[in-house]
Amino acid sequence: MRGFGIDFGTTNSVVAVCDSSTQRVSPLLDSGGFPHPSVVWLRADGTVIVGRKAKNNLNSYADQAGNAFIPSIKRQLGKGKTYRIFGQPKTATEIAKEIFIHLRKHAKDQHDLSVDAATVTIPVYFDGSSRRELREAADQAGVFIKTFVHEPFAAVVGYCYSGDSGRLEQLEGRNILVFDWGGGTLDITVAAIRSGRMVQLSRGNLNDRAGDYFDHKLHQLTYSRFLDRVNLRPPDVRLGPSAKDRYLAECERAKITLSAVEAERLEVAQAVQCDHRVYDIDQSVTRGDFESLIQLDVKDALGEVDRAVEEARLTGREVDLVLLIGGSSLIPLVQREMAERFGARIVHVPNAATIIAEGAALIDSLGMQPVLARSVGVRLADESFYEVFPAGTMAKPDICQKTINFFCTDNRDGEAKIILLERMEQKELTKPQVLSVPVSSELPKKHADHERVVVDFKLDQDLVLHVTAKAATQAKGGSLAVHDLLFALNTREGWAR
Amino acid sequence: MNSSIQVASNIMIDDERHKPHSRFIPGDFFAQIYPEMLNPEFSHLWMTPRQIREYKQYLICQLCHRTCAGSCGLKPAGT
Repeated sequence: MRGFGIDFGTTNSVVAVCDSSTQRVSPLLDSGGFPHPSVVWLRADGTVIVGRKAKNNLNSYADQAGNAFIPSIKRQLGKGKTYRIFGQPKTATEIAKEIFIHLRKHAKDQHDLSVDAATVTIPVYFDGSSRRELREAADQAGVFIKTFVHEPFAAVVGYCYSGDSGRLEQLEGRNILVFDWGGGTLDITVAAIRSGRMVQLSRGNLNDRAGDYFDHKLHQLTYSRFLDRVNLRPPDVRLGPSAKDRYLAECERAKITLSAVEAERLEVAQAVQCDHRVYDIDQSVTRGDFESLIQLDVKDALGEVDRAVEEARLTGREVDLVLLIGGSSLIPLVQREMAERFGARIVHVPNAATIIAEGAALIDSLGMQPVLARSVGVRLADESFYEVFPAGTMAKPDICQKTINFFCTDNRDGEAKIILLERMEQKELTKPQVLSVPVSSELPKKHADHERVVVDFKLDQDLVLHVTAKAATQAKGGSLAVHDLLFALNTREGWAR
Repeated sequence: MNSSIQVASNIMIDDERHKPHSRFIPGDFFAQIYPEMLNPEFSHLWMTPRQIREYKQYLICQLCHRTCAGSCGLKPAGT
């Protein structure tokens, strides 16, 4: 038996496979040993290219007729976005589907593995509509999503099973900070494991300021230095169309290398054209140059870390474990600054680019399940809280379904108001969501029962709670979908394995 | 538009613990349905303290002629 995990990322996507008997996990990387870039290249002749080849040609063909490139499609999921490509409408789901097809095909062709069902990771902020569109995309590609799991939770599970990191049950009662700075975004999550449940306490993020943005900054810096050095002035100078792709790829390579060495050379052959002459770019850059370039971004990132720790009502000392994952967390400046705050509690994850997919494969293989992080219930007319699903209930459609009979205590305005809440440790944590359904506004008969309202609570497979209600005397009822319930991960299945 | 108005719930669990239903309705609504049961000497027998409080809040004050719930501070002449 095998378990599969898919990290469908903004910049890169990875599938990992876990052998259920040995719990050995392997990421299925591309031929260069890297995750698959989440870039889709559509051509007018119907060809679809996904991954490294699409990324490497993004700037070369982007302006040419008959070519359309869509990077970072993950950001558009759940927004109902439709692209117009070669005169035809194409939804974000249809584009995301191409990435799943690519990952599935690669697993089959290169590793002879059939990825028909998997656990798929999502950011904590991914709401019900985003989850639904992601599931549709996977379904259309022939991948059944068994369950969704939050990316930072998958990272913690991946860490616990890699090397001699220690077992998951040893983290019981601990607070964990996951600092995930990849190519597209920075996601910070403060989580805790309590009674075997991994639950998010707070989060922070920086959008659009991550690895890809740093590549562009490095490109701008080195290009202007090169032009100064060879005494070329921008109006007469042109960067060849394919040169920009090669240049950005070279910047990415140099950025990665600068984490290990103090200086690096950027070399792009036949990149610049000026007065019928073609120049090769050959420019050196030091780690100091790069770090001053991103200093403000790192400062903002650390500000987000402090804010997230404070929001979790913890001090820096109460954070027991810090996982640095994502390529950008390997930058020495980031590591130094984080070390100043958290010292020896920082874990440098060697498989930072694939740990989320690996954790998801383990979760799939071990059968860990998402559970409700908080109690879900309704507020009654006497202001008390009626618990419909207690915290820790397994978030499965066949378990999270209930029908409850209520009566309307005051029908004078012709409406019954059902107020939904999430609660943890006696505190109501979310802004209540209100479902109003019509009831008869006639004065109730003396000594008789008041109007009954039947309410159905049902969680779907995308972890969206549907609440439908109808009064006994009325033909029409009402419904409400709650997209932002908070989920935890039940880790007990993974203990002592 | 943001609003600070809080919506109050008007539902209650329909089970044996919550019967008769009339004990869980607002006091002023009780008064509308059962005006004959408002005698101050006996109302506590079928109304909860909360219902009595709510009912009184909606009575028109004979001194200030508003639903002041005793907050007007006026006293009858001669007292």
